[in-house]
Amino acid sequence: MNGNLRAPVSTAVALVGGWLTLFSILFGLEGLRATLLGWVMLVAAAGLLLGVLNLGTVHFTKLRGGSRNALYSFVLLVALFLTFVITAWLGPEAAAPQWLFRYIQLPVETSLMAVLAVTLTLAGARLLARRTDLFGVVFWVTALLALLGSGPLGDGLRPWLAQTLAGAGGRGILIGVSLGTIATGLRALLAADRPYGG
Amino acid sequence: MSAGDLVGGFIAALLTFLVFSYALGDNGLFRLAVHLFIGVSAGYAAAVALNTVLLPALLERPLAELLVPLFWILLLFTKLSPRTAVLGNPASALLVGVGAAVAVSGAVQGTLLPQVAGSTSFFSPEKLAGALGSGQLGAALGYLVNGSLILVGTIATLAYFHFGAKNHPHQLPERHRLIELLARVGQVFIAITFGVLFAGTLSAALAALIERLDTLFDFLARMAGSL
Repeated sequence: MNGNLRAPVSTAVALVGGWLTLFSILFGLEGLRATLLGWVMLVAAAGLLLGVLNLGTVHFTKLRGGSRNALYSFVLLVALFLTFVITAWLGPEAAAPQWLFRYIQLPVETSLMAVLAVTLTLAGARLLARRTDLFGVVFWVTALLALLGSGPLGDGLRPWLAQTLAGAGGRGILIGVSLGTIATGLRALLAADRPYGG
Repeated sequence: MSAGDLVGGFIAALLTFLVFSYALGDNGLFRLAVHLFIGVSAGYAAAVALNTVLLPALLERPLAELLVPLFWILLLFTKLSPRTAVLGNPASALLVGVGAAVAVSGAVQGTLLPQVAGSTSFFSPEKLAGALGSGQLGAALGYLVNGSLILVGTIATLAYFHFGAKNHPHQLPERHRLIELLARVGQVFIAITFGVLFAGTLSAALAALIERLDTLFDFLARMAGSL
């Protein structure tokens, strides 16, 4: 822990807010929990607006600078502005925002997922070529068995592979991730990490 | 087909082609589609945050209830200018502190405890007694074998990520022999897990590819039919 505290107010706010929230959750203090989370939800929503505003500012600066990628910034800014105005004015459930979602967001998202099929296959082939040790072989044999098991071939094999063997590895990874999350969270709650300029 | 659907279908088809051009390598057309996507997504997210979180609270709650959050929001917006940005640090600190508390409690209650319980659920006496009571010896044996595999796999996977090692003079730091052995077993379980995840993601990506191509051909066929 860094003993040289540069931002005592921010650190105190993080500690008081964090520990009060943790206690309210652990000891079931519903009123306190709802109040704190209600406040933070509003601040986080404002933070999201601030982030989008910052994104717009960065691309506006790029556009004014006339950089090589100014066209991309122009497209982003126009899309951002129009979508925000239309959705904020009409509401997210209205026909126009739904049209934007159906004909712009959804096709690009699905197409990016589709491109992933190509890049994943290439990356997998590269792994097989470069890494021929136990890990690489087990990885590929499992992947092939799991893919074959998606069809009628693997009625019993795939569930056992996915739920027992892969389930065990997945549980280990999830427990590791949660332990890492707890350690990182506690470092913030003990002010050992101060990612807010402290 | 309405005019909106026609224009939308054309834009969707064009965007699909632009994104698919990435198969030939990173290029300007792909980046154009991605920037458009980021603009629309960011604008949509900001409008949803404004419409569903901020405006209802500002319009429906009494002012006294809003004074505290408004104070923090005001502080947060000082981050817009580099000269006043330091004033916004306490608001960021509040988000970090409360976020860390929610993450810790969520990790304990939502992941750690359920996963530990899940790792040992096959050894549940009720389950084993139920299988033995109904004369299903094979099922009881299956519970024990699968349960042991899950328990060993979970512990071995965790051991793989244990990097603590003792320092010996004039020697490279080494993990304990037991941890090293478990880590090797864990590596096999991790490879199996990644293999299954890879297969699942590849299947989902292929399904998305088929859906996109189907939509594309369907749109082109409808266009050709209407000519």
